[in-house]
Amino acid sequence: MEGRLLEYSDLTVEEQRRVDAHLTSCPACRAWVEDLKRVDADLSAAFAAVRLPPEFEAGVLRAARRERLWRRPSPLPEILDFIGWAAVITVVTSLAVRYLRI
Amino acid sequence: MDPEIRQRLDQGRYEEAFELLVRAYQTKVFHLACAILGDEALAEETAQDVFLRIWKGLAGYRGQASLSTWVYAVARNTSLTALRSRNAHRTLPLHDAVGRLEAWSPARPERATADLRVLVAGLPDPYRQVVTLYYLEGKSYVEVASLLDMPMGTVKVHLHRARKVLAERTGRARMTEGES
Repeated sequence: MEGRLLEYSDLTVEEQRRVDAHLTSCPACRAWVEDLKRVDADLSAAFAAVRLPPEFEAGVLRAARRERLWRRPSPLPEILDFIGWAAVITVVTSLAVRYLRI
Repeated sequence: MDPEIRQRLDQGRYEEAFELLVRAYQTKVFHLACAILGDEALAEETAQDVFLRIWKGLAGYRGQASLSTWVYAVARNTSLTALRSRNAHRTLPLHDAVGRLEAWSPARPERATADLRVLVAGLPDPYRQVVTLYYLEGKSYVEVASLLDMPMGTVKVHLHRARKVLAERTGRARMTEGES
């Protein structure tokens, strides 16, 4: 039953009904569920206060501008690509011209 | 937001892409750092370090992994490095954490949440990380599993065990207090 109580929110409606029925007749489980609920509420409240300061974003952007260490992608692949296509077009054109002359 | 960021990356507009990325992921990265480090001030510092690493690697990002997967991986690795360099041995084993739970005082409800966070901070790493992220991320198993790159089943098992220990010990402390 303990496992069922811990994963109550993940249970099907039918399973939740069965757990609810058990709780009405079991004071020990009811008390345990109350402890669990209290811990949930306390943890939710405790972590609700955890927030990034509003100036965080501006601070990161300022620090990044100072760094300037990132590298733009190398243009070499594009240049090689261009040279390759230019070579193909030249070969095809010269072959076509030669063929048409014949 | 991710498609807009990727569009700018494809166009080589790195500064704009980075601004959008920081805006979109700052809270998640901070939460993840908080969960791994258990220390808000250090988590904020580490989150800044995470974004600087991302900035430096942005031009090299080729989109092999989704943007969120890449950002979370950088955040996890950076936080784990910070944790190791701080002091990996500061985390108490579970039985020590349980001992600290005994000291929890239900007679001081105004301090209950603060005390509970101290107890959570004393849990072993996996339990502390899952519990912290679960509550920071609005009780979403999916977000916890995604941020920690952990199977959903493992997230649930860790969470249930930690909540069980916390509920039992705080309940017992309350009963003891009632008897005395």
